This record gives sequence, structure tokens and C-alpha cells, in this order.
Amino acid sequence: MNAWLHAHDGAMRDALAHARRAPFATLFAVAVLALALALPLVGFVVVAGLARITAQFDTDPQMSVFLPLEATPRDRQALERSLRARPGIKRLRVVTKEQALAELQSTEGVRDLLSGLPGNPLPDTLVITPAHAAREAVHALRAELEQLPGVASVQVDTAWVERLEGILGTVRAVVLAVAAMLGVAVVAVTFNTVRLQVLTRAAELDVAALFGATRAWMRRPFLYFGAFQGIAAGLLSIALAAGFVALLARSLPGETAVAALPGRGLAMPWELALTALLAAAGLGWLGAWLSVWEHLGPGRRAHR
Amino acid sequence: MAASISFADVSKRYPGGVAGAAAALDHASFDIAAGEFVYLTGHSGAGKSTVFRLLAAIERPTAGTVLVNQQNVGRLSPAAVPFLRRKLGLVLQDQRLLFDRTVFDNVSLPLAVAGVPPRDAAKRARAALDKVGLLGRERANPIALSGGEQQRVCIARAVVNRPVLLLADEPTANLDAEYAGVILELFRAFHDVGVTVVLATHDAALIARYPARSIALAQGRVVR
Ligand SMILES: Nc1ncnc2c1ncn2[C@@H]1O[C@H](COP(=O)(O)OP(=O)(O)O)[C@@H](O)[C@H]1O
Ligand SMILES: [Mg+2]
Repeated sequence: MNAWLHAHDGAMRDALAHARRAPFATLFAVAVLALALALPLVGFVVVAGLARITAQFDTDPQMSVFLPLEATPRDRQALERSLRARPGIKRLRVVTKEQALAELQSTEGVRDLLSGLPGNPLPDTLVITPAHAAREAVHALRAELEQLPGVASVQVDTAWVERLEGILGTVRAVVLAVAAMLGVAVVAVTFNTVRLQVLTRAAELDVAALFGATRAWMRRPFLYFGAFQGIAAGLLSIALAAGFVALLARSLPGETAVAALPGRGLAMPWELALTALLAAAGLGWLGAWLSVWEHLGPGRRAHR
Repeated sequence: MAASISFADVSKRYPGGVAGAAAALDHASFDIAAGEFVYLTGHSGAGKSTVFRLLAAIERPTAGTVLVNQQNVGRLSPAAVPFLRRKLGLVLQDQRLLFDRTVFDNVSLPLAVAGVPPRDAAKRARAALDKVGLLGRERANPIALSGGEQQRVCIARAVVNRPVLLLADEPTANLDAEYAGVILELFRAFHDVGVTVVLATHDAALIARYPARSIALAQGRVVR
């Protein structure tokens, strides 16, 4: 157990010593890896921010129940009464065709447009807040209301939120794909840096093997090196991504939805940072493992 | 604690060797008892270094059986080879010192690979360097040492792990007669505490100074 600890301690020191012996090569590799990791990180932060925006709107879906144009105030009151008697409706607000027209007319520019029309083109509307916000419940309610007599059409105002969610899903898939590709790039870059290290240390490894080093002992410093390099790149990428996201959040105008984001606003969640760090360490380790497997694996007669 | 050696009808042909050239070892048979001190003699190219390479499982015999302590080292699994080598004290003819490391690092390498705690390793490496008269040079780079001093670093590295079998391939080749005597004294001291010692040399004067059994090789055959 003690020998095992010393072996690992020694391997870690050895890995760090190598980084110190080739500081520029190591720094350069870390910078390249950090940039590769920062890009998907920013993507994930933005996706998470957008997801929270849509979630916020999703919490209070509304539904507009339109009456036929020819409906009388009596029809409207009848429908209002019947809806108020139904379960599943939290709030109900009446917007008469006159109110709707007055609201439109108060809008600059639209007034002239409307003045050309013969009558009031707008229907009476009952604006409903369903008791259950879940998408399925909202759609079920809408289907039921559409069947009611005296209802011309029902429009779910969350439709744009759903479209946004659809776009968000696509963006998330793209970010994931980019992250996967850059993850492969991280493995490849580590593979190569470790391969060069193994080659430059070939003489040393041969001598170590002659004096009783096991393959595991020879591989270990390289695995630690890959993991350490990944961790360094992960930390740097988190700093880069967080800085970029902060700039992005500041450059957005104050009245945008981002500024009104609940909780942390547009910022790097610590769960994401931790995941990125672990992924960077794991990918670095994997790249190093593939490299030492090729160069110090059972196939190679390391000092025989 | 000592180790016996047995070569039974051992032949070795190197794969890169010239076709039709004589084998490096040609049906060689000999035994060395545990705790014995033996010289391995013969001209250059006789096969002395090949004997050591087979004993350390650096090479495998083409035919025949090489036993160390009844263990067939020609058929060791790759995973078992490091543990065989940790029992050996190897002084290689081509030295294999690391010139980008200090003398101390070179000597403590066999301890590091075996997972000896650094504090113990430092103590033992210094003791080994003391035995070869290089205690003051731990921080030096081997490249800054004379040929004879480099040879002594190799010897310190070979004995640092308290081997049961000391295999020295022409360890006194770069040393003047006085230091050759000192080194031989060191090997005899290991022999005195029971370590099996095999020493390849073609220095007849040395053998005359410390007589012991000799195994003579010529063109891969045991001739005496
Ligand atoms: N790696 C090798 N490849 C091909 N031939 C070799 C190799 N090593 C040694 N030999 C040949 O094997 C023979 C014995 O060599 P060696 O064991 O080194 O002899 P010695 O140590 O007695 O000088 C020589 O003819 C040498 O040329
Ligand atoms: Mg030789």
C-alpha cells in the first residue's frame, strides 16, 4: 500500500517535472485545448440561459378563445358564464371587440390602417389562463374549448414558446455535436503531445525497464500528465468562457429578456464548470492512455 | 539469499544477424551454484554479453533452457520480467547511464521503479555511492565524470537494490588497475555475504589477482 502510494506520488512528480522541462510546449498545448473546450462551454451557457427564458414564459401559458365576428354581447356573456363554470380554468379576462379596437387604435401607425376599414374587424375574445400549465393539459383544454358552441377558434399563446423550444433543441444538438467533435480533438492533441514525450524519453524508459520497471510504472507519469494537462486546460477554458459570457451579458441591452433572467442571469453554472473540468481531465487521460497503449503497450518490447 | 544459474544446451541467434554467421551462443551448457563467484572469459564476440542478456530476459534463447533459481527465464511472461530484473544487479557493457539526470537519480532508479519510499531510497543510494567512492558527486551529471567514474556509477546502480545475483559485463574495462582492484574487492564483499557473482572479463591479470572458477567461451561455445 505504501509502495503503491509512493509509486503514484512519484509518477505525479514525474509528470509535473516533465511539464516544467518543456514549459512552452506544455503551455501551448494547454492553450489550444482550453480554446477547444471554451467554445462548447459558451454554447452550453447560452443554451442554458435560453432554456431558462422559455421556462419562465412556459410557467404562465395563456389561451385566447375567439368568438365569431357576428356574435352578440349576449352570446359572449353566455360563453363567459359557461367557461367560468368549467374546471381547469384559473383566470378569465374578457376583451370585447370594442376594447380590442380601442387598444389597436391607440397604437401609432395602425390607426391610419384601421381607418380605411368599413367596420370593426376584431372578434370578442376571452383570454384564459389554464389551471394546469403542462403542455398536454393546455392542448387538451384547447381541444375541448374548440368543440364548444359559440367558439370560433382557440389560439394557444405558448405556440411561439414551443417554436423557441424547438429551435433551442436544435441549437442544443448542434452544441453537443460541436462539443463531441472538439472532445475528439482534445483526445487527439493529448495523444500527440504524449506520443512526443514517450519518444523523447525512450532511452530513459528503456533503462527503467532494464532495472525492473513494470509497464504500468512506465505508463503512469504519462497518464497523469494527460490528466493534469486536461485539468489545466479545463480551468483555463472555464475562465475564458466565463469571461466571454460576462462580456456577452453586459453587451446585451437592459430590457432584453436575458437581463430579466431569474437567479443568476447569464452566467456559468458551477455544475457546468465542474462537468467541464472532469471531462477535460478524463479526455486528457484518455488521449494519454491511447498514446501509451500504442507506445508502451504489450505489443512493444520496451526494453524487452 | 543467493541464486543458482543453469544453461542447458542454449543457442542464441540474433534475428538481425548475418545469414550463415555463427550463432552468438552455440549449444552452451554450464551451471553456477548459488553463492559462487565465477568469471566468464573469452575474446570479443565470444558470446559473454549474450549470456547476460539471456539471464536478464533482455533476449530469449533460440533453443535450450536458461534457469535462474530453477525458474525458466527464457519463458517468463512479459509481466514477470520486471520482477526477475529487480533481483539482479546488472552492470551492462554499454553502461546505459542517463546523461540528463544526476548521478544520484541514475543510482536510485532501480529503487524508484520498485516503489522504495524516497527517504529509504536516498539513504541506500548514498550508501551505494559511498561503496564506489563517489559520495561527493551525487549532484553531478554523469557526463561530467571520467570513464572510470561512470563505470563506478553503473556499479553503484547495480548493487543499490541488494541483488541476489550480480551480473557484471566487463565492469573494469574502463578502470585503471588500482580501481579495478577496488571494484573487484567490492564484488568479493557481495560474494562473501552470499551473493552469486558472474563477472565477464578478458583481463587475465585481474583473474590472477583473485582466482576463481572461469567459464571460457569461444564463438558461442563453452570451451573450458
Ligand atoms: N543485437 C545483435 N544483433 C546481431 N548480432 C549480435 C547482436 N548482439 C551480438 N551479436 C553478435 O553475437 C555475437 C556474440 O556477441 P556478444 O555476446 O556481445 O559477445 P561478447 O560480449 O563476448 O563480446 C557476436 O558475433 C555479435 O556480433
Ligand atoms: Mg560483450
